[in-house]
Amino acid sequence: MARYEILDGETVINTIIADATFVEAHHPGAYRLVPEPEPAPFTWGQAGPEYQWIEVGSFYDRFGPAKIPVLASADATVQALVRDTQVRKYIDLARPDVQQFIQYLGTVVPEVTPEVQATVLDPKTVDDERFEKGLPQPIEEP
Amino acid sequence: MSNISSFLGGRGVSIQPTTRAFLRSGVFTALRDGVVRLTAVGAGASGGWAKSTMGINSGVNAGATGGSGPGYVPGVIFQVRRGDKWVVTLGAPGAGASGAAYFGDGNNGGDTTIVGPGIDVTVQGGRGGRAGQAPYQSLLQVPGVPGGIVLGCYGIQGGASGDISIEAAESGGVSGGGAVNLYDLEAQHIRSGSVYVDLGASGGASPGGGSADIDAGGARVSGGGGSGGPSVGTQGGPGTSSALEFLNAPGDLFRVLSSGLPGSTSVDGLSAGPGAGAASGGVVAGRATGTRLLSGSSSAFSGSGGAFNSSTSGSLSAASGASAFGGSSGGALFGRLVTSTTVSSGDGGPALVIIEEF
Repeated sequence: MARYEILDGETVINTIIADATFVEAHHPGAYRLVPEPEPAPFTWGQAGPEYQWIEVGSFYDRFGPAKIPVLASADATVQALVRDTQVRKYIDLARPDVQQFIQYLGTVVPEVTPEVQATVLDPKTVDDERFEKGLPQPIEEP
Repeated sequence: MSNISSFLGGRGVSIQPTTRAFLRSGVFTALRDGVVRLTAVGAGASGGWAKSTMGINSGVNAGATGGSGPGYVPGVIFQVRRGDKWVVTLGAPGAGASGAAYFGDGNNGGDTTIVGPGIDVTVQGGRGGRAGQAPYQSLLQVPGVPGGIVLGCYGIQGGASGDISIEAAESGGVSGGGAVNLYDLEAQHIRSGSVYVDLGASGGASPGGGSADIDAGGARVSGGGGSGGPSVGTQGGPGTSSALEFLNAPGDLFRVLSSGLPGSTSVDGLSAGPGAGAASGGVVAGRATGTRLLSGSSSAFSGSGGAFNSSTSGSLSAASGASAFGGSSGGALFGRLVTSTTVSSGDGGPALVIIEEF
């Protein structure tokens, strides 16, 4: 159902719900269609927590060239944490213990630089990475 | 109001009316000589919106009221002749309002008109909520808006939205949306609550009762009105306690549809998601925690609550819920001037016209 402004000259005297046939029949030449407002953009600020749930494989892919050094690390704590993450359905990037894990990796695996850490913990995910598929992709804040 | 049987002159006669419901504009053509009954609910309005520039001992405060309820024609009898044509034009609901800086009124619901031989009726939509600002620690006054009226036949004025009136305001307040006055309540019993203290948000009004005022010493939010009565403090109003036994007109059915749904309880804390209820409650987010803030949507004929977010970090938005048939949305306010904030009022509810031909 369209929204039309009824005009008296250039003055809008009413706004109605009608179809084109009705408005032309009863207000010939004295109306204009009100464009439907653009839906508000969906931004990262509005994204829910499920946007930070990423699949385990995707989580390790975020390490890039540092992935193998992490998985091959002889550090007992790293091995335990890797095993722990691998039995999870997904990794929640917002969890403090995940962030602590990444920070710890930075102290024992030289390839996990601050830039790599930032990449791994980047809360802006894409559909291929996310545990929940088919979510609308947010945009940057205007 | 006239009883249909007095026109038909008989007892125990069961007549199935031919009924047309208009959800968009159209033409009604009488099928025979006789009488018709007109029931009409005007279009709801949207609330005002504002951003205050509150800081520490600086800036201005702001307020925004909800939109008011539209006019209502509660089943009025008209005589018609076969072939009479009435042009039924449905007013559009007031679209939700928002903007960048710094405050703005809501949008009126359009007028609904029924025009033809023997009839020229206008059902005003609800009036858009107002918004305004005042210097820090000054009197902030934003008057609520009166409800839409009916011209050309018997009708009932919609419920008003509450005032914002805060002495030495440091931040501001918002009031909830107005309702359709299905029960022909006195004006003071169906308006949304007025706000007299900083950081106050009143709930939406319901056909069964308004929402509570926000006064000094009480909570900073009030619940939405219920179909069975007004809200009390933060609690939503009660639902209708018993089903109506007699349904003589669409207006009676409206009351049943709006019964049993207490207004949603307001949340004075982090956030409130969309809620159910005859009318939704007001919501306020405290200063320390940022989050998206949305007062619940309201069900048919009821207003949605005001939304007031004064967070300083987080997702930073404030929005009042949309309304269903005839309801109007509450005001929306962001309490601190922060870039990238989003403040918007919800859409008003659509109009509805029912014509029964006997």
